[in-house]
Amino acid sequence: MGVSIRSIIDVWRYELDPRQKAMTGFAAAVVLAMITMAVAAPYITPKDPIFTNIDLRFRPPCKEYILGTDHLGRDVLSRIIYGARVSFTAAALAISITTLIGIVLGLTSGYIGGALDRLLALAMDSLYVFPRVVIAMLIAFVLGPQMHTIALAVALSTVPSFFRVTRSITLSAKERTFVEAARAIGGSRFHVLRECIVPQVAPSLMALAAVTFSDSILVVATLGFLGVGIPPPTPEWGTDLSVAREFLATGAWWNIVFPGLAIIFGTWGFLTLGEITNDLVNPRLRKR
Amino acid sequence: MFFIVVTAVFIVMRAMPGDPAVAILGEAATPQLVELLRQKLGLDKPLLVQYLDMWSHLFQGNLGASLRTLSPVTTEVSHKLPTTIELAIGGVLIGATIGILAGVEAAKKRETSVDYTTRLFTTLVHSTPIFWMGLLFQLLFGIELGLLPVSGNIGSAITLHPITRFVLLDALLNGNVYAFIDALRHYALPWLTIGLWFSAASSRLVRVNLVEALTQDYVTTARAKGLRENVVLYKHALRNALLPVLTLMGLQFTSLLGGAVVTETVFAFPGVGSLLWVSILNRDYPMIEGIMIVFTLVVAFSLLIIDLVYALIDPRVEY
Repeated sequence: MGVSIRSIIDVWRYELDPRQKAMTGFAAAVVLAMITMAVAAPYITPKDPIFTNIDLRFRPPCKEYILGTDHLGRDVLSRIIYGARVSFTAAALAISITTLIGIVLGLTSGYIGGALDRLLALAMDSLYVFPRVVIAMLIAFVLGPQMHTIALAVALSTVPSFFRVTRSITLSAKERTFVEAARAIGGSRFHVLRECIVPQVAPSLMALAAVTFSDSILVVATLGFLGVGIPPPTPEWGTDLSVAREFLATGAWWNIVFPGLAIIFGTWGFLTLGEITNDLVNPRLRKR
Repeated sequence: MFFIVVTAVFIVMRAMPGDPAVAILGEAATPQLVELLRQKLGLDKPLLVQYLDMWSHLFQGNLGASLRTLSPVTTEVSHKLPTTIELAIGGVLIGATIGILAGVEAAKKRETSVDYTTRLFTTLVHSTPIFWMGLLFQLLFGIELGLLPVSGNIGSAITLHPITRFVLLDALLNGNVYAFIDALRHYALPWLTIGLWFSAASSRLVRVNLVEALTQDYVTTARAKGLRENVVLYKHALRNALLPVLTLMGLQFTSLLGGAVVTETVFAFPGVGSLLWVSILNRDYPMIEGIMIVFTLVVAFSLLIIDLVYALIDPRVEY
């Protein structure tokens, strides 16, 4: 069941509720705004996100510091804007890595089958036993706190989902007649995979990637909060929250509320877009 | 599967940076002392020997001793596990209650603003980091309103004679009502945190499956008999809708454990989750291995329980 642009437009036009469309529009606006924020960070931040000034610590939101200042007198708004950069970069890196590994392993496992398939499937299932956060936390600690290592940790913790989806679609796709035909006319293994199987897998993976992207933003923040993420002074939402937590008793709520809202907006936007993608490319699986 | 889990954990542990002997003794320790400790901990042996040693100990029910506190891992974990179980059970009960009520409402008024509001609420909760929810509750109920304690699972001034190590249960068994109430107050915010987070996932599942169930013939029959709508919903449709929900909840159990780990860290709760966190930060290999193995067992056990609960909900299932 290939997915054509036509069918996607049809689903959008005839099957979606106007409220759902409105929600999607809003989510798209949020995502667009946050990506713009991340890209244009140096041009739109009112202050230097790393500049400290102890005299200005714990300023509540005011005209000059719209979202207040933190324990070192740094501007919270600027840190949130730069934080978007860090979070999105880490999540995007993570998604690219996990998609790549997931596709390669899933295709190999599903298409070749046999003992290799059983072993890989068993290994991936075993990983399901552990909470994602715990896997990411362990790997992040082993690899050390840097952008690419955090991204790798987050990526490895999601490989099983991508593997599963790719493998199951490959398993059913390789039995179809057109795949058999491609093999019969002498198509190489690589050719069959690329021309016949990957197009079958792609739509589902796209939806999965969008949803996982939003989850990855959460996991990156959680790692930061647990102290194994991207370390200060780099502005990162989760790490900033873990520092703010130490000063919870001072009642500086703006240090906690605003970075959290940034995480929610980012995650929610991508999640909503991911779900709508899922509805559009898999209309048959649509939740009633 | 168990074999793969244990082996994977072993490999990851040995890949950790830094020498645990140095971690225990501190950076100032002399090389001789470090060497002595490495011998004592068996860290000087070849990796393969360490690996086989681990298996032989494992079969004897011995998970080794913590590198940090030097007490046996089994003792430490078994002392902390009850707290985590109490936390998880309370959270799930709250979450499932909210989730079922919200899910039923949404399914009943499908495609109305009630439905869309519930859906928006669930995606928003799903997008909220669980630790942030915990922090907000601490800020609101603990700091601003001063109503509830924000850390620990019981007041430090209270001494309980440990019987089961389930704090709430122990307080009752000790006949100490004051301690019971104090413990409840400590559990309130963590429960609420996990409950709210869990309700998002469960209400969606309930809604989807209930909508499906409501299209079935037996629902039409029940309505035709003149039963009240609530009886149709809760007694006929919901019961059938809960079966797939239960299956998915079994799969959700691991993420619940993950949620518990994070929640415990936020509330400084003396459970397995915060123990795991401290152990990772301190490179306490045996403890991390032990906790991972316990996690595997807990997940396996919870899947068994869910299978048993099937029989309660679905009379067609018998064991």
